[in-house]
Amino acid sequence: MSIKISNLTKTYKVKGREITALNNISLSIKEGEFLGLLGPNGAGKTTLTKILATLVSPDQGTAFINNINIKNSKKIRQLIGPLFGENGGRSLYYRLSIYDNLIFYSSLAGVPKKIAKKRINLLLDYFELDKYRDVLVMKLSTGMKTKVLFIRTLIPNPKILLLDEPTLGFDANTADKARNILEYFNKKFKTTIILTSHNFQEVDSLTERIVLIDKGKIIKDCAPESFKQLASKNFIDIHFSIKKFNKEIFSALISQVIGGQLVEIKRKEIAKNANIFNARIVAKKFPINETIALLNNMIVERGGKVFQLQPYQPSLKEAFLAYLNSSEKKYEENIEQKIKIRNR
Amino acid sequence: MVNVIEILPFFVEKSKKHNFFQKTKAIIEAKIKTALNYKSAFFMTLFLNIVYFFMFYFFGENDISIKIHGVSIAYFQYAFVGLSLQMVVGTALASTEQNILQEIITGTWSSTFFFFNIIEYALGTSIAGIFLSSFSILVSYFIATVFLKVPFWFSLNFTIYLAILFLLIMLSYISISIFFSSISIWYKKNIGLTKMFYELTKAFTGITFPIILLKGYPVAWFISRIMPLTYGLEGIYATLFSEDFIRSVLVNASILGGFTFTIGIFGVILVNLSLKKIRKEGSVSIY
Repeated sequence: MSIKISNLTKTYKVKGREITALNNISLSIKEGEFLGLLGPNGAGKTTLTKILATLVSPDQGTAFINNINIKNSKKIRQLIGPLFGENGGRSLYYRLSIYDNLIFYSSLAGVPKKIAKKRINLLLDYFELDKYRDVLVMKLSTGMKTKVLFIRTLIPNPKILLLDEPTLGFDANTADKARNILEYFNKKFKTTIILTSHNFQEVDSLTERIVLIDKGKIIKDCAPESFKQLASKNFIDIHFSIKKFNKEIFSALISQVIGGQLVEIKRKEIAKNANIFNARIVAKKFPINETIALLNNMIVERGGKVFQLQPYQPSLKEAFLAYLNSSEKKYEENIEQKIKIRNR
Repeated sequence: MVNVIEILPFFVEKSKKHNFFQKTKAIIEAKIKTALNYKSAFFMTLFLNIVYFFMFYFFGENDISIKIHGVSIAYFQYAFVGLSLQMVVGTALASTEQNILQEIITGTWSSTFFFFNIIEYALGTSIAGIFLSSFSILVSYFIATVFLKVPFWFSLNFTIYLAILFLLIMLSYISISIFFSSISIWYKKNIGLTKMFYELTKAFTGITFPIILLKGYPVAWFISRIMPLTYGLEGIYATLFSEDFIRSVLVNASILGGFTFTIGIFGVILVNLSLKKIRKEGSVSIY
């Protein structure tokens, strides 16, 4: 089912201040498309997902799902399956067992009981929760509750899945399983999926299109590959050695002398006291060829040696961070904070 | 362990449209199962109801010649009808509003909001609550009947009148609960209206004394006349204790019906306005 979003705007009032969550966003998503929604915290991703889930109403603009206006919330809710993983399973009934919760929500979604039971049993088995089916949700770990939420969303097999951080808190094995089943649903049932995630590997491997939102606006809309290729025009990978190395000074030099940004630096474990480093740098002020020349000079002038210096294709995460001009550390702190809030 | 390929064939069949009865039935089952998971609270209520019955039996039936302040001890039979109803009415009054508040606090509210309209939710939660509180009273009554031979006070011929009145009393209190829910949804907190209304119901509707005694006190009389239980109890007392009861049942049932319809419609409109407000604020899942 297709989604058409036209000029959506949403403003919140927080302590008397107006915060624009979405600023005139327009977007078209085809049936069966797997779309990744990326952006820093507070960019407007969750607001967009909640507007499509009819839990939040826009100030301006419209959205249509399969040509049905989202104002018709009753019809829209029969087509979509929202999953807000960030809440850590709080939207489950704590005093009911896993099985009772799933049966309850399946009934609400209109799944006949016999079919619901079969689907529940299969998914509990798939996510290794079958042993806990009669355990009250209040006794489950956060990861297990998130699994239950994931299962709950899949049972009615909705035409559109709106997934906001669906695998946050999953272990590697469960996350793999979740990704696998999403991929199958997308291919087999042509389920349209909008995935909001900070797991770039996940977004990179699953989606065929990414939409980058920042400050309520769409700033990029393309395939993950072309996004990385676009960013690769600015990324430099260098292997070098230098006698007296100080990370802060090196980072400042990169910024002042070559007008670039240090993304990552690692000491190579080749030999003791070898002082060989591998750095990744983004060219910002000058074109990449000039930046490479300036970087080479900078290291040689300071008595260092350059072993390898070349442009490289960054990961989706590196490209994303560079695009937003954000540091990895700041980004990781944001994610940690999110996980802490969720586990509270 | 199954793999994805084995799972997918079972997802081919499409879901049906959301169905009013299916959803109401689901919420009734879920709420009853949840309540039964609070085993100690359930058994405590049952125990207290049994104590009530025994107490009324010993005070009311052992020596009917006793009088307190000139009122015959048979007064307790009268009071027992009110006290039994009081518990059920309290549940009907609290069910919708208190369940919504609970959903807001625990975090299930956004899912509730996603799947239900207020009428489905109000009926589901109230039927579950009324069933549980009535069940407790009926079990107590059954125990008292078996062990103490407490007589049934009403003939089966009157059952239909009593059932109509009971249904209308419940519906009127559910409609009040819907009305109060709109305020809870709007402010997302408990502002104590249900508690206040319940206390007024207990004091001014004729549960423990005939409201005719309030006639000399205009404010108290006025309060008693705006409480639906007053009319419900008048109809029930007439059915149980008076020979010419049909007129009373008809009058009181009409008043209750009108009350339910007016407050119910008003409540549903206000709830929808509150829901519109929280969607606009974006505060559906903020608690």
